[in-house]
Amino acid sequence: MDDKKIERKTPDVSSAVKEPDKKMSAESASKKDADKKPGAQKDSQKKDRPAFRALWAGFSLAFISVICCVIVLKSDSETARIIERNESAAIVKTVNKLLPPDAAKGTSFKCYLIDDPRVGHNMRMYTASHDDEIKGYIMTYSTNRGYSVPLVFIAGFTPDLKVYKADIFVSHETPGLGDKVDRNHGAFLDMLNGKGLSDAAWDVKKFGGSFDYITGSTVTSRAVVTATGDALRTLSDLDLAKLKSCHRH
Amino acid sequence: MNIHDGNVTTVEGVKDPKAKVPAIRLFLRGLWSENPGLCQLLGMCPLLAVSTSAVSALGLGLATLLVVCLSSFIISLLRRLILREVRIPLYIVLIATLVTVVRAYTQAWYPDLYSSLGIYLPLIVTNCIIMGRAEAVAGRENPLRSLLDAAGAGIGFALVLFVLGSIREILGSGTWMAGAGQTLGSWASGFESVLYNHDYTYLVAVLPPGGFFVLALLIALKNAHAIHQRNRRENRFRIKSSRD
Repeated sequence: MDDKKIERKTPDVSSAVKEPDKKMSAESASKKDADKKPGAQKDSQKKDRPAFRALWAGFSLAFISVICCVIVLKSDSETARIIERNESAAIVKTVNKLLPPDAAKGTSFKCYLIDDPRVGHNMRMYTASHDDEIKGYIMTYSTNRGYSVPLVFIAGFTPDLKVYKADIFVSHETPGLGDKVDRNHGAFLDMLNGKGLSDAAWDVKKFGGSFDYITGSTVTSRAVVTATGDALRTLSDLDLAKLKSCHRH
Repeated sequence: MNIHDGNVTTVEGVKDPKAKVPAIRLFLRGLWSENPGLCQLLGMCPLLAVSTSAVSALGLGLATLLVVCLSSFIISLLRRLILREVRIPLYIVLIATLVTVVRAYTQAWYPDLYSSLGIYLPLIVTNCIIMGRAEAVAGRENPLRSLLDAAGAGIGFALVLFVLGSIREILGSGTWMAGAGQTLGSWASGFESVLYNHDYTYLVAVLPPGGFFVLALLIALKNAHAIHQRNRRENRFRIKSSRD
C-alpha cells in the first residue's frame, strides 16, 4: 500500500531509491548514497521508506558519536596538564604546612608507595631531603577503625621519627560527633605533636593508653591515635631501598 | 466568548492545543509555576545530596544550568536531522559529552569545587531535568525558544538548590556560604559568614533526613501558595450568600 502511494507521488525518484535500499548490508555504501541524494528528496523519503530511515538513523548516531568522542578526547588532553599541575601544587601546599621548619625550605621531595597491612594500600610517603640528608617525612596512612571508611590521615614526622604535625586527609566521620577531631573544630590532633613510639602508649586512656579522647566520639578518637601509632611503627620498619617510587613508569 | 476583566481573561471553550506558548512564558514557567525542583520533583538525588552547604549547591546549580542550556540549544539546532526512533540515544550521547567537557574544565579551573561536588558533577548526565527539556521542548522548537525554556528550568533548579543549601547550612552548621572564597574564587570570600555558635545548631539539617524534611517544607509552602492563588482566582466572582 505504501509503495503504491510513493509511486504515484514521486515516480522518478522511487526507482532510483529502490536500488540503494537493496544494498542494506554495508553502512558505508548507505553513507555514500545518503550524501549523493539532494536534501528535499531525503526529507520526503525519510517519512516513507522504513529502510532508509533505519540507515539514516544508524548513520546519524554513528556520526554524532564520533564527533562527540573527538570532543571528549580533545578536552581531556587540554585539561590534563592543568589538572596535574593543580594536584602537585595541592600536595606541596599541604606538605609545607606539615613539615618541621628546617625541612620546609629548599628541600627536594621523593615519593614512595607504601603498601602495608597496618597503614593501608596505595599510601604515599615523601622524604624531604636537603643536601642528601633527610630532614623530614610526610606519610599518608589510613585505618578502618574509624566510624566510616575511608579515614585517611596525613602527618609530618621529624627525622627521629616523632610526629611533628598530623592532619586529616579524607574523612567521612559523623558530622558533629566524629568530625570534632578535625582541625576546624578544635586542637585535638595537636596532642600527638612531638610524640614518638617510645614516648607514649599509643591508645586512648579508656583502653589503657596515654591519650585523651573526645566524649561521644571514642571510636574516632581511638582510630586517630591507634592509626598514628601504626604509622610510626611502619615508618620505623621501612627500608627506603626496597620501596617503589610513586611516579608512573 | 471572552470576558476581559483587567487582569483575568475568562475564555469559554477549549484551549487551542496548537497555540504557541509565548517565549517569555517559556522562561517564567521554569522559574516558578513548573519549577523542576519544587513542582516537577526532578533531579532529587543531586538536590538532596549537595545541598548541605550553600556554596556546593550553588556550584552544582550553575553547572546544571550550563549543561541544560547548551544541550537544549544543540539539540534544537539538530532537531531536523534526528529521527524519532534514535532520539533518546542521541540526546544521551550529546548530554554525556557536554557533562564530560564541563567536568574536565571544572577539575582544571575550580579544583576545590570539583572535589566538594564529588560524584554529583558527572551524575548531571542522569538528571531528568535535562532529558525532560530536550524531549519536551528542544526536539520541537527553534533554538532561541529552546534556550529560553532551558534557561528558565536551569535557573529555577539552581535557585531551589541555593535556597535549600542555604537553609540547611544555616540550621545545621550555623554558617552561610562557608568556603566561598576558596571554592568560587576570592571575589566570593566577602559572603562568608558565621551566624551563630556551632553548639546551638540542628545537626539533623545537614544529615540526609534533614534534607528531606526541609525540601518537604519548601514543597508544601509552594503548594500552599499555588492553592491559595487558585482559590482566589476561582472564587473571585462568587456571590457571597448570607450563610457564609
